[in-house]
Formats: sequence, structure tokens, C-alpha cells
Amino acid sequence: MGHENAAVKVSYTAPWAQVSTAQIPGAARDSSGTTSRLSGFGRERYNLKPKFTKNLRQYPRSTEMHILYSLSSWLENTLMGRSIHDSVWLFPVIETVHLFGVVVLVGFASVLDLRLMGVAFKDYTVSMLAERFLPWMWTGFVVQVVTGILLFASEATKMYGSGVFRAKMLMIAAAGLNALVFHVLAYRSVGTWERDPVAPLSARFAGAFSILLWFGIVGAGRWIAYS
Amino acid sequence: MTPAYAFFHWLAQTYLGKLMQGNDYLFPTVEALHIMGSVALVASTSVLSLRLAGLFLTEIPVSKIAGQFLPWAWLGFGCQVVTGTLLFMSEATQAYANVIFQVKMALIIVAGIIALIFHQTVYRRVKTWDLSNPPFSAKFAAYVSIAIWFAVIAAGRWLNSSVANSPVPPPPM
Repeated sequence: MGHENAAVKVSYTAPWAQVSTAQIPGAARDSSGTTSRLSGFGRERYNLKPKFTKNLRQYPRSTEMHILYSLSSWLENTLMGRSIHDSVWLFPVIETVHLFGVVVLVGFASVLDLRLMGVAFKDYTVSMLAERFLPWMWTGFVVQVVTGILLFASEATKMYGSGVFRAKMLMIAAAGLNALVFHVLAYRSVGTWERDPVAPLSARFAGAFSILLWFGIVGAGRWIAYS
Repeated sequence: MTPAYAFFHWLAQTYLGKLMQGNDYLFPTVEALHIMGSVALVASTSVLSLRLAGLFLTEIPVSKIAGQFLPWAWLGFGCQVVTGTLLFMSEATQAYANVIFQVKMALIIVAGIIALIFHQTVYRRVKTWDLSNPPFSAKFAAYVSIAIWFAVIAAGRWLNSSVANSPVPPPPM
């Protein structure tokens, strides 16, 4: 069969998917920089060594390149990603702004969470605190999203394989879901309980989950640098 | 060799210092706690500062805000001192000669002095302006305080890379 010698470049229609396997660390390359199709599956196909890495996966598990890996690879190779990666000072400066944002977002969210849990600030109504603190939290959140995407872009494929980064993203999604569930369920009837020093059980749980998740996200953020 | 350098060198040789240097997981963990503490400290002082600047929660008396948020600031400050000392012990001799470390410590001292002056002067008469527009000196202290605390965070982030890249000085004679 002539399949082994038929060099077929891996290509997709989406722009971010147009990456060659040359960008996969450890992937086998022939002279043209492409891999042979049908020469194996998964690790064999890219001739990857079965390197044992705890919780880390540097390459897609399936034979097809994962769309998130393609997206990460594309983002990393944009002018934005390259500039931040190559600059000595851009990454630390953006990271500093990311730290400023975390203070505003997590700090102000915690005030609301502590009130919901009935730990502190009991003589303010929940709706008043929400009304005053939410604009600051949203400001902080926008700063976090913008600076977070910039930081991610500089080392996207590394983050793709980072278990801690995935845990952080999952926790952010969980915190968002928690806030949404709280808003749809307990907060709808806020007028009936907002003056009580102790909020209903669902609101107390929402507050506790939120504060745990946000501080977990902060911790995970610091751990990403070491993962 | 200055006495300060000898002290820092001794600090790095203590049990805790050795523990922090020898364990791969301890430093990032303590660093994560240090960031969590900075959230508590800087966010609660920022709420008070924003109130003093007349930008936030203006219908609530200043003394009430101070009474409710400052305990959290002190909690965060305690966390910062403990975790900060541990982080410092792991690389005390490198931090000794580091300009950014000195700037960070100086900024913290300035923030403390401003808080002390504010407390001893303008805040003494808080009952006269508790619900009205805060006096200029209170607003000034608020803006300077916010700027300094965020500068401390920036210095801390900078310190992280500058100390890690700085060479280990020789031990004291």
C-alpha cells in the first residue's frame, strides 16, 4: 500500500484550525513538515513517546486535533499572543492589572457573600448591597476577562494542557452558574427576606459556594504559574 | 556586613526558612494565601476609601463603614504579615538587596502612617461630617491610600520575578 508515503497535510476549514502537526510538541515530522496519514492512530500517528505526565496532556487524545487545541494554537500565533509572549514586560504588567481586578471582583463579591451567609454586614439589606456592589464586581469581571484572555493568548497551548488551568475555568463556570441559580431562585423573592439577619438556606448556600469558589479560583490562578 | 543582613541571613537559616526553601509546594501555597489576604485587605480598605472619597455608599455614615469593614482589613493584614514573613524567610538574603522589596516595605509603612494620621486628626471629628461631604483631608487620604495599596500589589508582583532572578548573595562573614 502506498498510504505510508502519502503525505497529507492536516487541514480544517476554520481559520484557527489551520495548523500543522509541526506545532504539536514531539510530533514526528517528515521532510515536508507534515505527517503521514494512516500511519497509526493517536500517539502512534504523531509518533509521540508515551511520556508519563501526571494530570498533563500536551497533545489531543483523539486522532483528530481537538478544536480547543486548534483554537489555542491559533490564538497563540496571533500578533497579540506573540507580542505578549515575546515581550519582557507586557506579561507582568497585564498580570498586575489582573491582580488589581481580582481584588475588586473577589473582594466586593465576598461582601455580598458574607451578607448572604449571615456572617457580616447584617444590618444592610441584601438588595441594597447587591445594587451597590454589583457594578464594581462587573467592572472587575470585565477587567479580569480582558486581561485573562491576553495572558491566556501568550501561552495558550501550554494552558490547554494544564490541569490547574482547566480546574480554574471549571470553577469560574461553576461560580457563574451558582450566581445564575441564586438570581433565578432565591433572589426573586428577595423582598420577603432581605431584612432578616439570616437569609434562607438556599441563599446561605449560594453565598458559601460563591466565596469558596472565588477564593479557589484565586488559589488556582497562582498555581497555574507552577503547574 | 550590616546587622540587618545578618538578621535576614539568620532568618533564612531557621527551621521555617529551610522548610519554605526545601518544599516545592509550600511556596506557591503560601503565595496563594498571600493573594487571598491581599483581596481581604485591599478590598476592605478600598470600600472605606471610596466612601471617604464620596464615591461609594454615600448615604451610610463613615463611622459605620469603618466599624464594619476595618475588622476585615485587620484580618487580611494579619494574614498578609504571617504569609509575607514566610515568603520572605524563603529568600530573605535575596530580598535584602532588592530595591523593589525595599520600595514595597516603604509603601506599606507610608500607608500605615497615613492611616494613623487620618485616625488621629480628621477621624477624631468624624461625628461632625459623618453623613455630609467628607473634608478635603479625608478625601486626600482616601485617594492616596487606594493608590498606595494598589502600588503595593504591583510591587509584590514585580518582586516575584525580580527576587527569583536575583543572585544569592554570599553568606555573612
